[in-house]
Amino acid sequence: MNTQDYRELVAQVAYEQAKTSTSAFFFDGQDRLRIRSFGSLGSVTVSLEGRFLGADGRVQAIQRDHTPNSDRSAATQLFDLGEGFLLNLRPRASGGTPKVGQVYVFLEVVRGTDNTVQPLATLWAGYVTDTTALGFPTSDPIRSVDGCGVLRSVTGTNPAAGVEITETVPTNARWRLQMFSVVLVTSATVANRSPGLIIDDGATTMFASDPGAVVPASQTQVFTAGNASQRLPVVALVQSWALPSECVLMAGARIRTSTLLLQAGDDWAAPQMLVEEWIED
Amino acid sequence: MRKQCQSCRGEYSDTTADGALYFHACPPLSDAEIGAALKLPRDATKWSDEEKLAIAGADRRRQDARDENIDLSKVAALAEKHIARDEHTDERLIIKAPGLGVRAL
Repeated sequence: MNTQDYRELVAQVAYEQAKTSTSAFFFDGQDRLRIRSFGSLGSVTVSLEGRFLGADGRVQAIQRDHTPNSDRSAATQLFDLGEGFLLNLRPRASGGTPKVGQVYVFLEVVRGTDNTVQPLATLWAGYVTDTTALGFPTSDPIRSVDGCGVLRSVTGTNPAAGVEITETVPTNARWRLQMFSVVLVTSATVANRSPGLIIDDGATTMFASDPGAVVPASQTQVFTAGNASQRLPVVALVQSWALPSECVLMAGARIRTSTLLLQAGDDWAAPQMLVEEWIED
Repeated sequence: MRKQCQSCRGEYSDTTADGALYFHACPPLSDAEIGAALKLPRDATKWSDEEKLAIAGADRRRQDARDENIDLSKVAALAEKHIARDEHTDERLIIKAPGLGVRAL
């Protein structure tokens, strides 16, 4: 048997083995690979890297690049692989360094064009990082809200004087509020301000905490809240709001202040929050 | 980039320290803002009981409030029209409410 005959024999055997494999996924000419991504970080490129056994029995290395959006909205892309068997496929961040919780992808088999795509199978789903070793067929699909999210320190809006604080959970995000800290500087106008912390769903209050003590004029006070914190009085100009344990919030929920007798010259600073975040479509 | 919302005058950075986008939304009206709109004395301790009730029952919705959070229905509409999104996409096509816009600081 010469070298050419040997190579052709190997290709035939590989193709026959793939047909009976429980992990290789057959693509006929109509099937396409679709990636749907949800990203919260800019400047990320997701590379789909894998091996494809063509109809000619030869294994090809494949690589396709995809750019997720950075506002957690869906980005979709279709790829034609031709006819053959997909042996393995791994998504990896080849550009940027996203952490788990920041770029989530679905890898699917579909048929049709952009307007009339019919999803047929999910190859894999999960978060992508620059060091991810997960993918098809070696890893099970992972829901976007499973496991740990990404920890983020978020600086909110610094409101104008006489204006309250509002921070909103972004579209397609799920937050677990871990810590919240903000400073209030009151004006010289005499009044006993009562700054409360409110958590609502965008419209209806779900939780409210009064302060431990009112804030008089010409004061600088720090307000904090943390996982399962209690309402506590002022100690060294720092007081604590209550906050539920496991304060998990859906997209559109708001964390805001509501201050009884807030004066026009009172000034809230930008709040600082520690949140654990997941993508949630 | 630091910006100032022209609806509520709040100042913020459009990206957080970890590189993610920050989406500003205007807060509801405060007691101070409603008092000013009702032309009440600046010193809230001088408000009458009736005026306090008026404050408590006032509509807190801010006129021309800005909300930069993404409106998924608008994003879907762009996709249906095959309008590609990039950094030049007009924000009014995808955010919930543009309000009075922003000013770069």
